Amino acid sequence: MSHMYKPLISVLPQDVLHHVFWLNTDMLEDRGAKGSPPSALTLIRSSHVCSSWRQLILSSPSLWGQVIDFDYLKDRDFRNEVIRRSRQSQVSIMAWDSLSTNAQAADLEDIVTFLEQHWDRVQNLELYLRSCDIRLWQMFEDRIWEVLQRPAHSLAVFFFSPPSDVGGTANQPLQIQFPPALNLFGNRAPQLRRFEAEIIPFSPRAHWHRNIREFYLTGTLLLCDLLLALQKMPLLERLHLDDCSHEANLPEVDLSTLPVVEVPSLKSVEMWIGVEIATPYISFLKHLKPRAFCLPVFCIATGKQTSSDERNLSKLDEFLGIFSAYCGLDLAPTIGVHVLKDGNFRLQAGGSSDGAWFEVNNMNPEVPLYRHYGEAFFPTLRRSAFRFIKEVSLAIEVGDFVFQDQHQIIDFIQQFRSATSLRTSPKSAAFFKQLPPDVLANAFPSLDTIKFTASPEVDEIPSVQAFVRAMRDTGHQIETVSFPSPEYLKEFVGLRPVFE
Amino acid sequence: MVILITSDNVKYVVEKDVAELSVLVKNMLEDIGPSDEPIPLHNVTSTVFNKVLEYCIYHRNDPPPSDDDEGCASPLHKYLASHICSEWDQRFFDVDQALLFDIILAANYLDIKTLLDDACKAVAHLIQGKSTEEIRGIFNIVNDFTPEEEARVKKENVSS
Repeated sequence: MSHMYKPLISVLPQDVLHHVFWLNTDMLEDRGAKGSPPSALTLIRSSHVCSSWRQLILSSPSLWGQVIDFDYLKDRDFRNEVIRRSRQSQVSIMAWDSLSTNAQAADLEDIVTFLEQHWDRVQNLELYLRSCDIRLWQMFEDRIWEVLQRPAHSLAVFFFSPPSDVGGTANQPLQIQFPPALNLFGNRAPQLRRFEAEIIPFSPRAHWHRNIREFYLTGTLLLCDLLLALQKMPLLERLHLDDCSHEANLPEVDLSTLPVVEVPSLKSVEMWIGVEIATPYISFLKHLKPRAFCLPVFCIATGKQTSSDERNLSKLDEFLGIFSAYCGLDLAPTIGVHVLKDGNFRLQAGGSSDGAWFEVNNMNPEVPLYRHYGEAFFPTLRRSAFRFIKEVSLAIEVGDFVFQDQHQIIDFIQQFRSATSLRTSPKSAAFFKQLPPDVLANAFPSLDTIKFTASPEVDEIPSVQAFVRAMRDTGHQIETVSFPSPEYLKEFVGLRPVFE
Repeated sequence: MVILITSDNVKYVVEKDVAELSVLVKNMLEDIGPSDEPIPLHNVTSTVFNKVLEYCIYHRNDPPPSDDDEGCASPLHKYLASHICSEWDQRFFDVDQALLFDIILAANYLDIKTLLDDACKAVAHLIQGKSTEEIRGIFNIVNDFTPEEEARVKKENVSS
């Protein structure tokens, strides 16, 4: 009677089952989630389950078109079989590891040939050539540029990372040559939504900007061109800039003649730069008007080649002002400030997963003022609106270090009149406990909960206990102390200790 | 308010914005115009509709799915969509397979795209990362390949 048995999943109509398989053909998710199985493997295994699933999957070219994964499909004959199964459907191409330092000419030949033959149906292209030997690249570059300058009617996602100076020397780095007047996509890529590229030049007036939702650029950026391009991106939602240039090779930038560019759909502006090249970026950000309450993520490295601490500090303070305006810091429902021992500073507004971040990462402990950077930001952070915030996260991990002007921090702490919950670290307890009793009495007057974000080391327990005791002694009605681990709860008799 | 009646004759009085998350119901309301007449949901039992309603009430204020959510959406969009599944959704879909498939059928019939997508994602996750044998075990599927097909499948296993 076993032939009468029907599995429960057989109730699903074919189109729904197809949708289930289609959801598993996501190579971009493979890249995002390291350790997840390749989409091609999941599809192949699904096609081996039973005859009805196999029939459905083999008769669905769109499924096979999504998994043209040159990294996983290493067997050329089987890869060609997968390509054949995709028939004329749109295709997604992924080649990361297959173009690494060990790549052979045959590997690149296969990929380039595929692109030449199927460019019209490429929907998603991810070519990572960054660590590919430049001599190998030079064998194919003309053909690659020829393809990339063809109209890209189906292209929706473009990720392209050309080789860096692999194969060169420190004195004679090999650099790739871009074709003169490079015209990406023949100026036609009407479906293009995501553009992610390193150092590749693009025309600021290209028509393919029109539908871009996400724009990720890495390398030395031409900010004038970028600002002009943003004028043509009315649907842009995410802008990500990563510029590792140094002051010495930064091109001259004059944005003064350009108008302010309004991008009302822009909800995320992410920027990773060194403070040495901050000036043009400050000017750039002042010329950009994103959506109100957008989510900026500004990560700025300091101290690599710093000549003037004070000058850097004033630039960082300007960034902080722009950050505050972009994300509407005045109205942030939660705020987190971390001043760390190594001179790093982090400000977070909003939730931990979707919040705005401002981060200063110190790269050189020899810079005299670096430990005062965080301290210097406190006057900029004083906001009347903070007095309504219920939960504040504040970590000041400075060890034996003494601030030049402690009053800046004290004034900042005393703004949070409504905060009932303080998230902090055991290392910060040493800072809090040394504050004078009159200062502690005025800090967080509504506080009833202290949440420690880590369990204290053995030598930190006395500081943690002293801080909690000092808060209670100065009139705070502390009822709850929480730790991520339960082992220290017994240290707080008389309170309501919580294991979170 | 909208009155809906399931196939086992259970009557539900549902707020209009919640009911209209179903394109089927929305279209029917537009067709019949202002009326107190109950709308029959022939293919949905009350057990399943309770779950559907729970989902619709929780997601009533979500932004509507855009055109990009169509079946030909880019892998990027799929990636974003697959990461927006909240803890609540994960708990919601932590049900036995029979109910999960019934929710899918109901979402398909009622034309509730987000519910259909999220429920299909729950099934897709059951497949992801599993061997062929494991997938058969999860869904109680019998290997019904002929010896010739079995040989072809084995060859693919070696190649890939």
